[in-house]
Amino acid sequence: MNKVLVVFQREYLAQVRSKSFLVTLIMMPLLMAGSILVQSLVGDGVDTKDRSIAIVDRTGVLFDSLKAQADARNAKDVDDENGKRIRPRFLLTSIEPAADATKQELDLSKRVKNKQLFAFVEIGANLTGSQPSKDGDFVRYYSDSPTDREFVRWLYAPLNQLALSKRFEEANLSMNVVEGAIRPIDVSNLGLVTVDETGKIKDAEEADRLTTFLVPYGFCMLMFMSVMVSGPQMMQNIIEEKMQRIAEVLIGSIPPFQLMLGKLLGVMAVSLTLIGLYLAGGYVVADYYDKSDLLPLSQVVWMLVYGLIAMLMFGSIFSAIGAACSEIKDAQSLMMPVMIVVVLPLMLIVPVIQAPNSPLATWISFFPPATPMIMVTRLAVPPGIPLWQPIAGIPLVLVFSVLCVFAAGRVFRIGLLSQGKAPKLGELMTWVVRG
Amino acid sequence: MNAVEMSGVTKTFGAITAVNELSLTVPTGSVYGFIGPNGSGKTTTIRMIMRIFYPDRGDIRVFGQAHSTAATDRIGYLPEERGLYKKMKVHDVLSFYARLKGINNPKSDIDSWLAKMGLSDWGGRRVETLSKGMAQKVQFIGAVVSRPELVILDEPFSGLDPVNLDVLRDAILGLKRQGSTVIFSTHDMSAAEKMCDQIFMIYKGRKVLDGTLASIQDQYGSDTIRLRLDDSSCVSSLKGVDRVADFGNYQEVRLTNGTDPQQVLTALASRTRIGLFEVARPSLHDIFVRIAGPEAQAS
Repeated sequence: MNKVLVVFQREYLAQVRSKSFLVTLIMMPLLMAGSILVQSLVGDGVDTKDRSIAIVDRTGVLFDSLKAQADARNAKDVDDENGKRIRPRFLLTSIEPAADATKQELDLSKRVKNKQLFAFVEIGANLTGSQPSKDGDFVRYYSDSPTDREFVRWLYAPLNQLALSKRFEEANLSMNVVEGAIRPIDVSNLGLVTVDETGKIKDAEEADRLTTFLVPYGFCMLMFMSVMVSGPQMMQNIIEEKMQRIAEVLIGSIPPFQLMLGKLLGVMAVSLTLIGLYLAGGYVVADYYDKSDLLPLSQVVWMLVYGLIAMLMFGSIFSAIGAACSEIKDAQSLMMPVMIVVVLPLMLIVPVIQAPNSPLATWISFFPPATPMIMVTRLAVPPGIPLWQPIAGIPLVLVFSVLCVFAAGRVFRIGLLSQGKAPKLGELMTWVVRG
Repeated sequence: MNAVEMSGVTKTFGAITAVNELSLTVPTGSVYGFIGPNGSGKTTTIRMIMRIFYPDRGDIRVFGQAHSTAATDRIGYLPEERGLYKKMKVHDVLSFYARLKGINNPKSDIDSWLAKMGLSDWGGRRVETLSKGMAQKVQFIGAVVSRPELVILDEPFSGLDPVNLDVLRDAILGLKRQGSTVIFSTHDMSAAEKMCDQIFMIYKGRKVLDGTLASIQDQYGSDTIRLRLDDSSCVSSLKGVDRVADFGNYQEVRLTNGTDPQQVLTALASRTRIGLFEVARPSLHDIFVRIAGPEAQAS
């Protein structure tokens, strides 16, 4: 047993001290923070040059009000509190509608091409009419930069509001009455009302998108990462031991099964370290935003328990692949089927989070290779799942893992000293069966 | 008690019989040399003693016991190809190997071995920075640092310069003085002659020589003479000369069975001046070539 610990210690230190572990550990949050940073930088980087936009208002009644609203926006919304320009101003000019609309469009298009204008808008003559018409109900925005939606996004609300009020006027309706009658209905998404220890009824908490999607997704990713960071690394270490003929020395000192066990304990500890560090980091961030209740202790415990079993299961498979191959290249082809199984839960994650108690989600969480990832994901979706499910999942995955370890142990023992061509999947099966 | 007892051991790999009906006894405290051409079964034999391979037939006992696994703290092993973690520091690798052999606090032993091998400055460096000879010595330390009773070294001298060769030879003889049994395989016949109490030669999977150097030489008798002549060309035509090996400065002549060296001396004296005439027993090198050389293969 002592020797198992010696192997465990080396494997753990070799992995945790390796550059790739540190890079992963630091890169993941950096990438996330980086993408947020880049977005905000890009946000700052909008073109803030004034945009002069010509309006061909065939109704004849909208332009003045529209210009007034644009000017109000230009005065109020384009600069931040320090006076720094963060959005472009919209300078609207009115163009008299010409008889030959096509020619006018062509002329205005030329002016846009020549950069005299940023864009122009044609407003159909019937836009303010209370009855629909076939050819007067349009609003057309012409520009040379169709992906720049800044003005269109802004235009939508004032134009709607102005046009609607004109339509109501024409139909002799009071704007106030109509607005009251057609006010939108909002469905708020709540958890259940609970009773706290003192017997007081606690109001239902509003379930926001962060809790209901991001947190379960994060747990799933964390589980995936913890498997993918240490498992393949151990596989590479085993291949190194084979290539450098270290395996021969090791086998002369420790029985193969104990060697594998030590390595498995090593990667389990690496996973635990990774999960622990991320959860701690996540807690600090959540606590900072006063959202620490997103990481309840029970969820942390489930995560750690399932993380350990997942590593035992996948770790043993990775160790068997490593022992069977003499080169990284050979290992890659054998990794494919394993990778498919590891990635499978990720592909099902959206339907599982949306309906964590659906038959699909329930059944897939009892498919042992997927159990750890799916179970922690479902647990993280409020209000959770029946407690028997994650409890029943543990012995199930554990039994499956022990089978994996047993089979991997046989492959490991035979593979570790064999050199040359990597065995095919079928040959591996014979190793497992015959021992 | 014997350190190793093998009887009737056979090991095949597919259609190839690597070791055939091999019986061997290595007494405790002896230095036992394994010689044989490449691919003759030395490494397979060693791996079977280590229980890295299991024999198909036959019985192998180490210190009287038929273990079921390779893992034993009583044997130190230097594999033919070197096994060291490139990225680890020398001291850490040695400490890892020692603790795998059940030594809990190996630091002082490692330090003294590193000093003995002239590697004191290298303990903190990574294995990948070592030269081939240094790595070899580190590997040797890895095999012996746990003070095993039986040390098995598969070609410990390959790739070493004469200085390092002396260092390693002294270290091996030091192990013997401390009571360890040493088995090593080598292609260096003079090392085997000088160091080994007993020599075992395997050829095409079969044992062809086994015993002390003297007893092996006795089998081949005193049929060799070493000569230095003014005119060396006249030897080969003499009656009773079987084969001449010309080493430049002297010739080694093998006589046919029953030839009297005295007659050869007389015949030579009448033809040329004789600088050296020595009746000798065949060297291990010569015996090796007689068994495994092209001539033997042809016959």
